[in-house]
Amino acid sequence: MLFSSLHDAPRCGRLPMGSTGPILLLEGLTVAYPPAGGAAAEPVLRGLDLTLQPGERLALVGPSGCGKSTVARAVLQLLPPGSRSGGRLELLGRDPRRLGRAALNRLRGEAVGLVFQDPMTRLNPLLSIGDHLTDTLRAHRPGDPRRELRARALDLLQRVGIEADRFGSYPHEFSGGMRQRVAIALAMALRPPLVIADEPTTSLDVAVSGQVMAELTGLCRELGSALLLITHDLATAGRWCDRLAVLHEGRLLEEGPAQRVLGAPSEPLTRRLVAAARRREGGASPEPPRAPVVLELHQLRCWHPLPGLPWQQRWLKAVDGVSLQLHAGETVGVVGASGCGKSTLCRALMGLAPVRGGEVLLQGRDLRRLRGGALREARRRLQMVFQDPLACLNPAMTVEEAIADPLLIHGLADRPEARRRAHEQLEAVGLPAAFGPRLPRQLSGGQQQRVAIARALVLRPTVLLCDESVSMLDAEVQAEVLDLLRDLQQRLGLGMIFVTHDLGVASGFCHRVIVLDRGRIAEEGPGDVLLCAPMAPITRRLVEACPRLPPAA
Amino acid sequence: MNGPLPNPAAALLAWRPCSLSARLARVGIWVVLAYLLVAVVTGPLVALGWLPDPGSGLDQPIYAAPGWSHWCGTDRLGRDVCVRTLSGAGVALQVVLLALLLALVVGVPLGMLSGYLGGPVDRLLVLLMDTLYTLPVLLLSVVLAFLLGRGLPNAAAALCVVYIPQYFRVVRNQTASVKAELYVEAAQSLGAGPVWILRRYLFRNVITSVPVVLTLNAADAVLVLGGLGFLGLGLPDSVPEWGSDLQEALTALPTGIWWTALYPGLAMFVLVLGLSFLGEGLDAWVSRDGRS
Repeated sequence: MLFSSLHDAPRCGRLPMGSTGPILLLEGLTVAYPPAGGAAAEPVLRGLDLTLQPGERLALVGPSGCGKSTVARAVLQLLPPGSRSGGRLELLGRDPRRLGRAALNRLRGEAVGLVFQDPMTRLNPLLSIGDHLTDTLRAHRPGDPRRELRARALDLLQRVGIEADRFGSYPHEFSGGMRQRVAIALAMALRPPLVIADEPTTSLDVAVSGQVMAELTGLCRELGSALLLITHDLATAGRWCDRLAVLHEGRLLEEGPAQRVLGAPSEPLTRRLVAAARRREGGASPEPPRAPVVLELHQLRCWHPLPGLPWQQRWLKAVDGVSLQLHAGETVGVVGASGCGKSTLCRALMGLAPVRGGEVLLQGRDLRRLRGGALREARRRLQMVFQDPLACLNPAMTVEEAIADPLLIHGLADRPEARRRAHEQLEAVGLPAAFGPRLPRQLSGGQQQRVAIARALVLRPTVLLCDESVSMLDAEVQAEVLDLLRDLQQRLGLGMIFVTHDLGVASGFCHRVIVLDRGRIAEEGPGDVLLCAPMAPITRRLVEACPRLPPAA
Repeated sequence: MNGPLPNPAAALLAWRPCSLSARLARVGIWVVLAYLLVAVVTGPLVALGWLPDPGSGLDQPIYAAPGWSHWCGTDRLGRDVCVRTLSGAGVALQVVLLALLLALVVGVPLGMLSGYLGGPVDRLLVLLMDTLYTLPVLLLSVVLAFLLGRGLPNAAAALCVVYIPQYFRVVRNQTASVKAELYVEAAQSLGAGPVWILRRYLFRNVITSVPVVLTLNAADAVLVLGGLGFLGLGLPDSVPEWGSDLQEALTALPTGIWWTALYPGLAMFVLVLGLSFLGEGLDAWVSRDGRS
């Protein structure tokens, strides 16, 4: 889109930006993706009605698979070739489906700015940040002199809070939040009357996503752009948008002012979604059980050497002296902003990251002193559920093979026995045994995470590490998976370390919560207490950044 | 992905692709299948006496023009050109298959090991393979064929050395990128050792790119085998082979004896073309699959 040729295009004049009609008008919009693998094309959108007035901020919410993202693709005509679309679709009074290539290219960018979920994959790694911006500006205003373009790009960067000296930096030198700011600057570069943000903060942690959303909405207000925010997070939607539209199976279920929809939802599905979102805002933390200690950390340190002179060794202290005790049947939440060392802690416990000092006692045995077979045997008692279930399952292995594999690795069962145990595990996590021969990508996100849990539990561990295991799931599925984990914990007496960036989720789910900051424990206590009366500055920041639903009417 | 088809032959007959590469691949499949059929059928037919022995020609006229008794004529020893060309298909396919199998068996595990282990092992193996790769294909196999002497397994060995670096490279790079995937780390955290990870987690994800290289190399290998035969290396004289037949035909070509050169040459040309089409089609299919 940035490199589109414009010179041979019939100039389509200025877009009618001053018009008073709605920016976006959808009436009975239907979209069906091209049929794949012999399956009939099931329409994704089945008659959607939606209008967006200039300057308005509308959030499009709904469970996963309801067609939220398809709306954005339909508006920008980014649907895969072969898709069918019907009904009325008007963007600034014109139907993008009838526009030619050149007019469409002008429309994208000038009339609509798009902010994607994962900014890294949308930025060209070989172009500097400044080049991205000047390139976009030049593609749409070919005549402008170079110096002016540069000045405008610098101005844009400053508006999203990036200093001018980062103009020549490359995308890989930026953090996730910074990249998303660049993406916002790109979307806003041409002052479009409509900005579509598709899950813009899902891959960011709470504190950063708050800042990014503040910048996005602030810029929209300043430029008078309308915002269409696509998200599965009701609290974010309610915090930053005036109006809320709930989508279900390709139809508009409910629409209204955000306060009203979230405070007094009228549809059963909306009520369910709001209830699930409210539950994950944190309830009372459960009482910790009285049980023996299963895992004990003493002053655990993971330091990574930074490049430097050998006699002036500098260290990145990812985990710097963390001590904790985990009882059987207890869940300890580890909470912190990104980069606080919570993932390194998990990886170090699993033996995937080097440990520099301290002790890890698993059922009284120091893992750091064990070697060879004894270590392998002891490690069996410690298993992990990763953040992204699809990425942690071998794409070429069926579900039952994946679950049975740990048994085969440790030689605990022969093939038929392992298969039988895999089927048992599938049922234990609430999936039918018929899912066995499927491949991971044929399952939904929630089902994949259940498979990952089944796989971790097949070795009968005493301690389970969950590294952001539910953060990629939408609120309802998240609640289901958390219920499953709680249930399994009670049945098997598991000790759990639950790593998350969301203090709300941790407070309702964990018996105790530890707040990490720069590799050290900043605060410790029951989650609900931390949520109500945070003491450490980092805890206070995490609590404040967390968007909350308006109180129920 | 579709489920397993009930009958692959019926599916192939019903397959009407629309893209150019797929159409070419279809042609390639038919050509290769035809050669396989010829290779399988010629031996028994000769044994039953329905076709003349490709090696014997003393009681037949030499340099007979194509006609009813000898469809493609006879060569300077009176041997039937048609039967020799047909038998050559079987020989060529055998040698090429054996050579590629050997190259696979050596190249793929080495590539996986090199990509997975990294470090000094990787650097040493890459250096070795790159050195092999820089040597001209024909030169390398000529030297090896000369050193190993004549014979079917020897010719296959001489050919396979040329192709090992190619599999090594493809598999090594693929392994190095797949190694960084989260599921490999997850398997490590479950306690899987390197051999287990290579066998259960990397192999199936790495091997997908090999069939393309395999078919393209097969086309190349047919040519190199022909080259060896032409130089009088590779296979013994008693085995009918297109390359050596072409070399013998060369002397008679100025005197107007065209049939001894045309038919073996044509056979080689069509087989190479068929294999190349198949490889290109596979390549397009695999890369399209990777994109979507």
